[in-house]
Amino acid sequence: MAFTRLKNRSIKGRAAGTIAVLTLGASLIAAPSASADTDPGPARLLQACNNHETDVCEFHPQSYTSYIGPIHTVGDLLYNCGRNVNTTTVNWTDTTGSTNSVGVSLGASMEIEKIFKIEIETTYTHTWLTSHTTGQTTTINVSPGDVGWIKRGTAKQQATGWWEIHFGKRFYGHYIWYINNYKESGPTGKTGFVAPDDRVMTSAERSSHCR
Amino acid sequence: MTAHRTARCRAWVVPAAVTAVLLLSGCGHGQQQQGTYASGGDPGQGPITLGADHSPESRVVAALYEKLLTDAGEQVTLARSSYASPADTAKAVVTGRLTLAPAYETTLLRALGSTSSIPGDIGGTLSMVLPVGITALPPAAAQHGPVIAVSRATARHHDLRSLADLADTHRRFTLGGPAAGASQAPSAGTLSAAYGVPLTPVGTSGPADLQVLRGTDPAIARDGLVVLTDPKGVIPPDHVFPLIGSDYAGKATRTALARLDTTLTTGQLALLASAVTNGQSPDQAATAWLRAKGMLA
Repeated sequence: MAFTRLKNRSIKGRAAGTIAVLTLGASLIAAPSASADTDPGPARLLQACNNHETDVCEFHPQSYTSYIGPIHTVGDLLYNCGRNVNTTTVNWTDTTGSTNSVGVSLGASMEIEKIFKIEIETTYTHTWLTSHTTGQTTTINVSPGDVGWIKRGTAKQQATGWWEIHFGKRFYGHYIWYINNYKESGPTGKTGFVAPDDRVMTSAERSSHCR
Repeated sequence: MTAHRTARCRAWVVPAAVTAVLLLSGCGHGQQQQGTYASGGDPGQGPITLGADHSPESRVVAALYEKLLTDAGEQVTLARSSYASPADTAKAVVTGRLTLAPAYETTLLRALGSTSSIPGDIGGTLSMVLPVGITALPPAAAQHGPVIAVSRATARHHDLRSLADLADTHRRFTLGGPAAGASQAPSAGTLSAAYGVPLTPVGTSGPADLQVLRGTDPAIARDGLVVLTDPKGVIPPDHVFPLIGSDYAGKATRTALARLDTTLTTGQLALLASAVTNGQSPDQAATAWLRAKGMLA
C-alpha cells in the first residue's frame, strides 16, 4: 500500500540533514497546555507532524487535477513610441511556488512536504514541485503607439486529501486528529500558456515613456 | 493504548454504491465545516470489533489479526456472525458496524463502486474511494484473486513460467477452471490481446490447459500446479489488507498487523484456509501458524 508513515522510530534512524521547521506567523506559535480540549488548528497539527511530535502522520490523497493558473505578465512592458511595428525578443523568467489551504509556507525539505510529495507522486505519477522557475525568449510585435507584453498561464496541479495524525499522549485533548479538506497547489514544471499581447498606450503612459 | 470512551463527532457521506447514508456518531469535537479544518478523535469507543466473511480465508485472517492485536495488548471482540461476502464485510467497516476486517484490494474497489484505478497503485486508488476516517493499512503478500495455473507437465513441456511465455509456443490453449466466472477473472479475449496467444474459453467445468483458480485454491498445492506470473498486470491485484476505522489505527495496532505483511503469502494463506476447511477452527489454525512462525509464544 502506497501510504507513507512518519514514525518517530524511523526518523531517529535517518541520516538526514536539518529538518526545516514549519514557518508560522508569530500569532500562531503559541504554547498552550497539550491537555486542553481546544482546537489546535491544521497549522499546529502540521507543525506537530514536522517536528516528530506524532506517532503516526499519514496523508491520504483523494483527488488530483491539473489546470492553467491565472494569466499574468512575465518580462518587461514594451512601449512603442515610433511609427513602425517594433519586433522585439523578450527574455523572461518566472518562478511559481506552491500554496496550501492551511496557509503556511512549506519547503521541499520539510518532513510533511516529503510525506505529501511521496504520496502524490506514487498515487498520481506526477512529479510534485514546491517551486519551479521557467525561462524563455519570446518574440513580440508591438504596433506603433502600443504597449506590449508577454502573458503566461502557468501549468499547475492541485491535490486534495486528508491527514491522519496519531499522538502517543493527548494533544489538545485528543489522541487523534484529522485535517480535513486539505488542498495543495503547485507548478508542474511545464511552461503552460505563453503568448504576446498588446494594447494602445494611455495618454499617461505616452507622456511617461515617449519623449 | 487502551480504548477510551471519549465520544467524537464525525460525519461521513458513504459512497452511493454502498448505501447513501449520512452517519453521525457520538458528539465531541470538530464540527464539519467548509474549507480545511481539524477534527479530533480518540482511540475507539471500546474494543476493536473484528469481523470476517464466511470464507475460510477471511475467518482465518481475522483470527490472525485477533491473535496479534491481543498479544500487543489491544482489546478485541469478534463480531457475533460473519458476513456473506468480502464486499459486505468491507461495507460494514465503512459504515461503522465493524472497526476492523480483512479486505481485498480490487474486491473492495468494486464493492465501493469504483470504476477507475490508478495503474500500478492500488493503494492510491483505495485512498481516493475510501471516506475520511477509514484507513487501508499496508497489505500482506497474500492475494485472494484469481491466478492462471498449468499442470507441471504442461509447464515443463512448453517451458512456461509466465503468461508471457505462452506466445512462444505458437499454439492455441484452452482457458477455464473453477474461478473462470469470477468477476476479476480475465477473459480469453483480454489475455489474448495482452499476451498474443490464441485462447479458447471452456467455462468453469471440464479440463482446460490454462486453469483459472483462486490463488488460495488447495488444488494448486494438491495437484502440483504451476502458477504463471502476470508481468503485464492483466489480473488486478487483490492483496489482503486490514481495513480499519482510523480512530483505531494507532501505532500499536499498525505495528501488530504489519507483522503479517511479508510472512502471510498466498501459499501460506492457502494452507491456513485449507486447515479451516478440513475442520480446524480459525483460532486453532491461526495460533498454530503464528507459533510456527515465531510470532506468538
